[in-house]
Amino acid sequence: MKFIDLIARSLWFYRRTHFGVIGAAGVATAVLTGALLVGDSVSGTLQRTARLRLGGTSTAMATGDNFFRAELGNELAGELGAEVATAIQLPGVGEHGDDSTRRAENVNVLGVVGAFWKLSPDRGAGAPELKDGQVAINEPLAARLGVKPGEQMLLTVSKPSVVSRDAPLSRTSDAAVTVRLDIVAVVRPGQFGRFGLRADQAAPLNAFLPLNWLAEKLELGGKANLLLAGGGVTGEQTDRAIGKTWTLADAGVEIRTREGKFVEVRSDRIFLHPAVVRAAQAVAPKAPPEGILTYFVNELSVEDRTTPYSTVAARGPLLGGGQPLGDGEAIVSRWLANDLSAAPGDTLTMKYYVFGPMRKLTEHAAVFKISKIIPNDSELLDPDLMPDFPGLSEAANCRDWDPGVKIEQRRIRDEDREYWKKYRGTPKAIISLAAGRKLWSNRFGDLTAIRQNQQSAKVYESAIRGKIIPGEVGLIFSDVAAQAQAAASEALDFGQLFLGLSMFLVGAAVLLAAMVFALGVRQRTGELGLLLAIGFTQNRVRRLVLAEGAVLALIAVALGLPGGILYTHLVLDGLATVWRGAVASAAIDFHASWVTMAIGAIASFAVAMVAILIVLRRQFRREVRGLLDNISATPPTRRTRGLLATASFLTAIACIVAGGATLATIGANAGGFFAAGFLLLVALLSACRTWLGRAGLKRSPSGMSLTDIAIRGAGRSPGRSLGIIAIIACGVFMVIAVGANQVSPLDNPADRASGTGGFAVFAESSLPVFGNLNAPEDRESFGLDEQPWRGASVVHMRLQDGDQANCLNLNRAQSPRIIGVNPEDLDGRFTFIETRKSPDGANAWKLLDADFGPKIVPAIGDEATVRWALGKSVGESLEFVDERGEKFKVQIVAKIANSIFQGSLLISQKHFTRRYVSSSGHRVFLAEAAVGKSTNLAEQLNSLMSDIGMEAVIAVDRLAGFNTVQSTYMAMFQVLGSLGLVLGTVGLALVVVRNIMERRGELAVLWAVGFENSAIHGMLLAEHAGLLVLGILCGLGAAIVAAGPVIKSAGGQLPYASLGATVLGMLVLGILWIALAGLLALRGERLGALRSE
Amino acid sequence: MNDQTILELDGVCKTYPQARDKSVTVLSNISLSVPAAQAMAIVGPSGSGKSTLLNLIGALDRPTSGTVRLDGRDLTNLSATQLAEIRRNRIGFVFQQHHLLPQCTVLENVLLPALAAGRVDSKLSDRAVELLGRVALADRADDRPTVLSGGERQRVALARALINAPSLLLADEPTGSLDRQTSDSLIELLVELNRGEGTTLIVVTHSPELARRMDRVMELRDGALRELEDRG
Repeated sequence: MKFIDLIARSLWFYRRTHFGVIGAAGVATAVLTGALLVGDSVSGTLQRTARLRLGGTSTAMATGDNFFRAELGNELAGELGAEVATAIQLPGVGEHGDDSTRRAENVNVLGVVGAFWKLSPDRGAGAPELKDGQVAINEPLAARLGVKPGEQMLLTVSKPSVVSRDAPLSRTSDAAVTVRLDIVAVVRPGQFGRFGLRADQAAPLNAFLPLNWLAEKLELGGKANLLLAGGGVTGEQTDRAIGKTWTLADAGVEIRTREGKFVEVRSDRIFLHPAVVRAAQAVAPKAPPEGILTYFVNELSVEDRTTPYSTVAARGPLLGGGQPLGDGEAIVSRWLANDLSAAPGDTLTMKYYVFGPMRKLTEHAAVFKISKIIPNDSELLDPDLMPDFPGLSEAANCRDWDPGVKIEQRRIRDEDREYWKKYRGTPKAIISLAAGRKLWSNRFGDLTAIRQNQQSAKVYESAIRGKIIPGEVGLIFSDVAAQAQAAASEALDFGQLFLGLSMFLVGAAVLLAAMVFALGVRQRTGELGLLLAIGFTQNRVRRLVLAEGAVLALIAVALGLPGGILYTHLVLDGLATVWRGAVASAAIDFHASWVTMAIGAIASFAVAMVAILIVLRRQFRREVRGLLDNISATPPTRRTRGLLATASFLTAIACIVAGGATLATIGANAGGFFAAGFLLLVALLSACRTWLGRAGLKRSPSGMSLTDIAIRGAGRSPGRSLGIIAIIACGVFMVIAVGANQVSPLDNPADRASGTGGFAVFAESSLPVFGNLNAPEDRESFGLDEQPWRGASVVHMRLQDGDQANCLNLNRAQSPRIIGVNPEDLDGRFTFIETRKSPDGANAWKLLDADFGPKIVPAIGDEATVRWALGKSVGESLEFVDERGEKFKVQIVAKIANSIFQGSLLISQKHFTRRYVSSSGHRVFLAEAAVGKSTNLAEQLNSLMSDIGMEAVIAVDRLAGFNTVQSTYMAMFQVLGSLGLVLGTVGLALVVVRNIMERRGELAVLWAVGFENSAIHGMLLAEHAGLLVLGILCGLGAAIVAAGPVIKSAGGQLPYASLGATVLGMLVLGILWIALAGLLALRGERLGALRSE
Repeated sequence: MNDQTILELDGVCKTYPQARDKSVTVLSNISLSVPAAQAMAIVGPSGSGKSTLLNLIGALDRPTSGTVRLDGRDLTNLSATQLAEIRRNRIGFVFQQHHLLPQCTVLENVLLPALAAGRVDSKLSDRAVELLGRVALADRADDRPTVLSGGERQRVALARALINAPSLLLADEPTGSLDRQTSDSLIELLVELNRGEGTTLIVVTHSPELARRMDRVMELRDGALRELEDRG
């Protein structure tokens, strides 16, 4: 006989009991592994999505409105020795060719070349061949528009302006181009149909056009704004390569020689990039370059004599030194002096527009003393001093002027036309550079040209280029492949969340498994005693029991793993149907990793082993004799348990008080109440334990009844009875407490402290809006009817696209969307739940403009966004790179409660425009509307501003959309929790069976002395149903405390019907199990049981 | 303790804690010396602590105070592992309830203590068969305990107690649940073992017949032990 024989004999002998053990442990393995595999599936789906959307792309450079030479892509490919695709990427709005009601906002318009398709997941297989006027679209866009190849569609594309449309003298009249296109193909995901740089599991709406044709339509011939590099290159490698290949033209900078005397640096973006200015200063410190800032002014006048619409140049050395002019002085041309009849010493008044927010023009005036009159052909005056103002520089005559400001043609005289014809944009006056900068500098820059005494433009360009890091002018690559990997791999949120939601079910299953293993060991206490009595060492007995348990656990794991896979499929089916809202309708595919399976298997196995070890440890503390006769050696001590109960109870009371105080201070805090409820539950369970201990020793004062025996029966094994109460109580508590805290719809959406901020409508446009929706004339330009706008006011916000950082995106947002807000606009709105420190204590929004240190941009985010989507807390930061390649930190300074801002971070417009210099216009709008007009207002925005992809929704609906996700989570939790409760009742049944089996002898005695069967059944039912009811009462009591905020809140109502049904179902199921278990356990031969007694 | 003494108890007390911080004293200040190869019976009324005393001697329990020495080794100071070794190699125990493993055959039950020592070779198997022969159960070696009668089970338990050739054999009411005839044959077996193999035998019993066959009879009453007869 060997050790292993003994194990085999035991396994076979107790096989019937082992079925139960294996079943329970198998369920635990299945539930645990399944919960983990759901996380795997989410993660695997996101990884797959990441592969589909990037294909072979390793790094990407997206420069937005700053276009570079398309040729840069080829040069870079040569330098890198890798595939580089050049493309144009712009936002657009799609429309069915014949049906204007079928529209698609937020279309990702891509001008591509052959190299683009080679980077696709399918490596270019089946790539569409696009000719001029043709488009290939992806499946989601085709579905949205209801189109197929052979049909036509309209595409409105945001027309980028080299000059920001927020910049002075830029135009908005040509902001978009609409083209009619022949659809030639619907591109599958593997062919790059899912291409996108943003980590979002929702498929983008992509439209692919031939690059050159698109560039031509947008008047961007030979330019591009997107480079994709493949071949596994890193961001560092591509940045190094671009460092070698880029030219100043890629930053919109031009250097030309003027009359062989000097070189001139200009920018097609009107204002020179600060990095270029710095470089110019750095390359020629000995011969300081001259800075020029030329501006278009509305009027120049001396006394009542005026000259309309002229250019004025501010000139001066860049590095100080001899200034030719004082700050209050002006040199005027002979032409102007004659026109104004001006003489040196006269006062020249200059009127000019300053661009405010929303392109609001404010006319300012400045006065100068005329110091000198110079000839019209003076060296100080030349037409090249005027930058290429769009709509102005190319105009042949004054009638064709179309700058970004209103021109009153009637003011233009014949002499003005003559001047334009003869001198073009030659400035009529010159002021000092310092004075000019004071008047006209803006966020885009403060120079329109630099002139340097240097003969070779090439040499100078090389010198300037050498002083600029490409990243400073926005030529910077991102490691998109690595970012996508991070977004997908860090996106365990849902997996963890699901595990969290399943926790009670997993807990119940694990507890059940642990219980059956523990009971299995306990049941054979006498055997343990015998083995020890005949000389087995504790170690040897432990090994024996563990080996036997291990075999059972392994069988359970082997059965549980396929069960886990099945369970995962069931959950995924649920996520594809009834719980669709939880994953924002994304299709989650089944993915399983061996590691996860191994974790599930090992964890389940470990639970069994630990349960056995714990029981053995307790058993080994007893003397061998006690084990042999299976009698308890140490009676319960009341004092310690009483103390524990009192301490827990006091703690719970303290927490309730603290939670109540918190509620009073900040409105509502479900968390505090939940904790208080949980502690109360612990206290109640502890009290139950004490009561059970006493019940076991209770002496009946008035004779004895079956109820007494039942109560004593419950108290005989207090730990086991408490186990039943605890499972039931925890289940009831969790299901009810969580269910009660479901997000309820807003009672008063107009409440400024609510999640809508008191706004009625939330709108977002694909293309920016340059006007002011609060101004009737601007509304008129959009064709908006005035009626719904009476009493309405709109808050305009800027938007920097990024990853959606809300519960609708399963990826971990790497660079969330940034909304630029004017803090004053939101003053007193929304509810702050945590702020870093408020400068004035009254308005937390002002934190957005507060100084938190250099390169730190304060941000406010929605609680759900900050905490869950970004995994951050107040005080923590996210790193961003601005348009000029400078890294900066967006630091969360405050969180607002459940709001319409989910998904984005809010920073102040001041910081926004400083970091995203070229961004223009507004794209996010919050509107307050008069009562009953909000729907009309939203409908108007949607229908009349559809060409720019305006999507307006009622703010409450937007909030409800976010809440749907949470509500679905709650629904999932309730379903999983209820499953856990069912397992809990199975555990209850199991305990009942064991209890009865162990007491068959005594029950047989009762039978033998004349008790009827029904009485014995009744006693058992009373004993165990009592525990069930006790569990439900404990759970219910604690849950009522946890649901405090809901009960307290005005209009808050507990979902009594569903919660009542849960409790009732639980009670009925539990009693059913008890009765059934009693019947099964008592079936059998009583005489034998009596004999053994 | 002289060279002949195998067991010596000195001032042994045993109390059990009860609810409400009370305790019950079962044995008080018991001292006893047992020479090797002696057959001794401990008698006394029910609840007098006979089994408790036997459990202390058999290293199944520890005294509240006092010492228990077996072959000169103080059992009270030994670790659980050392006690297991003593139980395995020095002591054989026949319980009132036979405590056979239902999942093992009769032969396997006899071999269990050998398995505890980690060695079951053919020699031990032969010895087990031989022991079963001595208890007249050689033909039941492959049966399961569930099909044996009470007396047969008790004889298996006796064979099991002897498998490792203990120097001290303890029997707790070995005939308590047996009929007269079975009881007589078991008594014969025990006496024969004692006389034939020189195994020290301590029997707790209510049976006057069994007590009469022993060299020495001690009575345990009210927690104290006194000598009734010493024929040794």
